[in-house]
Amino acid sequence: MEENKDFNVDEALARLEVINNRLSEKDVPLAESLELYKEGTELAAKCQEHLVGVEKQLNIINE
Amino acid sequence: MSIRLSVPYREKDEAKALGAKWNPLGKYWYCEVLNEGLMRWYRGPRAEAETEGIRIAFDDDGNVIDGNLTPDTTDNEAGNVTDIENENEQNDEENIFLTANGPINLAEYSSVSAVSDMITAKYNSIPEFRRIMVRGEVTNFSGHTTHYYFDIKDDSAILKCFMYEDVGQNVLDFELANGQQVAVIGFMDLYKPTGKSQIKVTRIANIGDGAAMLAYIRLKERLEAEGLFSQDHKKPIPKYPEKVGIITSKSGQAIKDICKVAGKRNPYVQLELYHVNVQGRNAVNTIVSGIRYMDARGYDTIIVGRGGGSDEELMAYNDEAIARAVYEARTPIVSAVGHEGHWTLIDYVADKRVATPSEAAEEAVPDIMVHVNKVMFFAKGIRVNMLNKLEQRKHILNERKAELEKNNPEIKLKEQKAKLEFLLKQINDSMARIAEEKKNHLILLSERINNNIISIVKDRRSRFDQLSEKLDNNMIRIVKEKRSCYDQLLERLDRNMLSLYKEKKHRFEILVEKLNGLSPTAKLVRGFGYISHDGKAVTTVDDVKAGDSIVMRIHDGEICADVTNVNKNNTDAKL
Repeated sequence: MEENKDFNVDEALARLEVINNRLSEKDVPLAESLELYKEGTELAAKCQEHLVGVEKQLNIINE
Repeated sequence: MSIRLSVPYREKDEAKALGAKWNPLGKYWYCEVLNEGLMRWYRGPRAEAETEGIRIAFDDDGNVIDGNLTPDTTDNEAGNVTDIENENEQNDEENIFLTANGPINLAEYSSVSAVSDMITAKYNSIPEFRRIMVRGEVTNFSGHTTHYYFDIKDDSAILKCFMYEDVGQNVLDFELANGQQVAVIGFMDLYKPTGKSQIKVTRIANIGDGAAMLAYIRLKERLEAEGLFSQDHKKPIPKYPEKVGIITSKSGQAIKDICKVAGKRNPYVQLELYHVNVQGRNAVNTIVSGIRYMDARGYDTIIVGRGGGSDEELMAYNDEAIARAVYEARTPIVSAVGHEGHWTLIDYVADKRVATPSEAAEEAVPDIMVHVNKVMFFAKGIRVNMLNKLEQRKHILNERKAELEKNNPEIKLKEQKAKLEFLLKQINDSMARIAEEKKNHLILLSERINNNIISIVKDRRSRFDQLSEKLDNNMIRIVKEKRSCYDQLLERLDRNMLSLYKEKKHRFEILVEKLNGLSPTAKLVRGFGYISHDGKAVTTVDDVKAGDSIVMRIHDGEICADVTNVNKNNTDAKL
């Protein structure tokens, strides 16, 4: 998780929304849409990875 | 024992006020004691009420006893009961039930409502209950939307109070709150739906807060003035926590609820429990330590809470030390102490206050699936959009390709090639035809030439033959002429030559005779010799001088001699 410290899920989600909107526009150049697609899928994977990690058990600190 | 009542919906409040209760499972109204007030809704056997003494109460007439009931109502009730009585007499036999313990005549039993009514009647008949004055501390008051429900208590007892909304508006000159000491005037009443006795308050006065409450209120005011409750100070609860600290008892229901809810919402969030005593002597100390401990260790959110309890059980959470620890913490803190409508001091300071530990877990651990679904939605959207884009491009490509195919130079080339081949063939055919024609023409011409030449040659030949014949004839004639001429000449020549020869031969013979007499050799024989010096003939004496060697040739050899003297003649010597 440490390496993801500066990764912000909220910003990533906002960016994903922007990408989606741009991609759904009619006259996006193919090159740009390819780049957007690449960025979007990577970002989505990163979000997923960030959100879904290993299931945690309850730790009792001062037992 | 419950007595069933048939209360129309529009009369339910009235019935409720008279002690009727609602059974939510069976969905019917009933009462435990049937008083005369409830009698009008009673449709049960007449004898039951009679046995329980209600009959007497009824016969005695409620109006006379409490004076609250209008004569109209009484009349109606009387009529009703009379009707019921009649019905009951008719149905008497049907109300006998056979049980293991013998037959039971239901008619002998009171309905609950009837008994409830009895109690109400009793309350109404006792003057001390009709005007009751009591003082105590307000408790269990959770605000009001319409009517006021609260309890008043002292150290060992508790009384239920009820005040109509309009009464409250008229008599309340202060904000009713738990912990206040109040003086209440009202009358005793049995609330039939719950079977609980209550004071129906007609007057209420604030006679001062309870001591503990007073201290609490002062503390609260002080902290508020200090800004501990300020909205500006409240930190937002992180939306994507990784580690959530929980400060509660490890053995309470709270931690179980939190784990259950948090695990369901996002099992990837690390939950860590700092075990504290939630009540009792060490509660404040351990809770403060817990807050400080967890605040120093980078938790995203801290939940401080416990399950509901009485005011006394929740006491610790009203402590100033805890309030200050929460205020000083840099980590967002969710408080979940007590229950709805009952705030403790920590609830005012915490960044977020909820009523139960389950709600705290919902607050601190957002539902992961909401975000995961959002991500999946976006990912899917991006894929679909991209595929659409590609599909669009593919379509355009196909269109262009078709267009291009139409203009394919290869096809054009083929067409042109075919055309060319056709033309070539045409040309070849034409050429062949022309060649054939020319050939035929040539043959014709050459035949003609041949014929002409033959005729010419023949012509010439015949002419030549004629000429050569003529020539031959001429030549023969000429040759004959020349021959005869030659013959004549030759004859003349022969004659001339012969005469010339004879003449010459004669002259030759004469000359030969003369020549023989002049020969040097003939002279040598007669003693003459030939003298030479150095190969040269010596013809004069000047050719030699004394001492020279000379050679003298005679007819039979040479004499070599040296000149001893030379004497030249004075006159020319003659031979």
